[in-house]
Amino acid sequence: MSKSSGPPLTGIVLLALMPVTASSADALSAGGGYASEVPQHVTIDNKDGAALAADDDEGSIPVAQELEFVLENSFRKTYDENLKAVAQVEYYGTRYVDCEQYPLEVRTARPDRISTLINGGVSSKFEISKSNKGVKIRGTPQGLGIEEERALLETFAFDTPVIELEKNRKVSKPLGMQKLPGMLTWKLEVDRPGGYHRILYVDSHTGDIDKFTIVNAQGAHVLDVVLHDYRVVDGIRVPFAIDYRQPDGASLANDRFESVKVKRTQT
Amino acid sequence: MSKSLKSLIVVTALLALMPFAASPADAPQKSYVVLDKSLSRLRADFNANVGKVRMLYIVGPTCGICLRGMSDLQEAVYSKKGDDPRMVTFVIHVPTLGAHEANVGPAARLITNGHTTHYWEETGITGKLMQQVMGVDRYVWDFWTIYGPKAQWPDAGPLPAPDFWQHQLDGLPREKKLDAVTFAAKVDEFLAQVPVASTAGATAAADRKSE
Repeated sequence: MSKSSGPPLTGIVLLALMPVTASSADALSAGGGYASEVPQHVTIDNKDGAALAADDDEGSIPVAQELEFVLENSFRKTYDENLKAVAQVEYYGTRYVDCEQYPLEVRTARPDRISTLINGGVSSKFEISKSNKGVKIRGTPQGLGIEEERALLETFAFDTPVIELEKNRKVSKPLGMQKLPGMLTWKLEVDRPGGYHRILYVDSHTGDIDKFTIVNAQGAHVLDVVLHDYRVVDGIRVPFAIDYRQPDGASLANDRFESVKVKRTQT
Repeated sequence: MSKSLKSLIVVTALLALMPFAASPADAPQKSYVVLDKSLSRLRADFNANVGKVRMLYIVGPTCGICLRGMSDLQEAVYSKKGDDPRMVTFVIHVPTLGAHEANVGPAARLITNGHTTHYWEETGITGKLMQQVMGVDRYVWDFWTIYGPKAQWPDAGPLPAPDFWQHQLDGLPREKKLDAVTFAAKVDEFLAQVPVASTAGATAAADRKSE
């Protein structure tokens, strides 16, 4: 190599290295700590990303302090306090399956008891109930299969997610947020004894459960349940419409309630 | 120049160009713009849209209440007005509540509009500048503003004061809490100051040019 070719070649080599140097600097910057302009009280330590709640669902958005925000929902406070003094809630309405309709009664009571009666005439009466002695089933259900009806009962909770969280912070696992049509929801996973568990989608404004998905012990989706037309009855919020869907979105049945009766505890 | 030297120069030059050639294909397409502390890109984008109604939001991409605000405005403003070329939106994501750049993409999906740009601003200075502009005693984020068509951001000057604003912070006026319906109505008021024909004319001219 001639001596005179030294400087230009050095320049080219430096040019070749420059983008690499810049990239490294960018990477350092991107992975760096908190910016000094954000005050300490609105930061949390999240160097490894573990401070954010999320799951692997494509639609989930990781969020910080999810349970705190769910618990701090001021809209719910009065309704939840009222619910604590309620012993039973009974729903009377109709189950619609394709073109058929059946009289429907759902009775719920503390602690987490529920029974469903679908009366399709003498020959097609269906009754399922859950008590502390387990689940009892008689007859053939309408719209939903036996496994789906059983999963609904086994995962039933009388109290709202907020009341459950007040009792025990570990009852719900935060999974971030997810957008449903028209609303953004908090996503919570709630385990229950019996093998099934629910993933709740809690309205970020009202705290109502807008939807839940039941998942079996193997992790397979069993049922999607959409709750809407919430109304206030005797100081608590109850859904007057429930739609049941298969995991692929196909409709199974729709419950519509005409009346809801709330019975308070004696005290 | 010797043959070997020429080869060396060519190889070195090719090596030098490789990172540039590889970057566009390899780099994943970002759904947001990364700002530096000078906010020069934001300022340029803001001033490039003088004559339009501009919304500027300062949010934390891992803050659930901020995300709810974005979702509410998507429903009340963007899903109803579509891609109205008279309104332009800048969403600045700042590193509050453990947020990293990776959190911007998922959060940005909440406002989908052809005239909305999301920014990642890693220093968080945007909130501090807005705090100074608003003259309040706390860091400003979860903050939702509208600028009328005449607003300008001077080159050497501070962020301009918004013509309308709402927030979701403790300690600021309760009557100014974000209400998406009220916010949408205010957007309409400002849009009434921008003639439809002027932007429609510009769009038509642009269409003719592209034909």
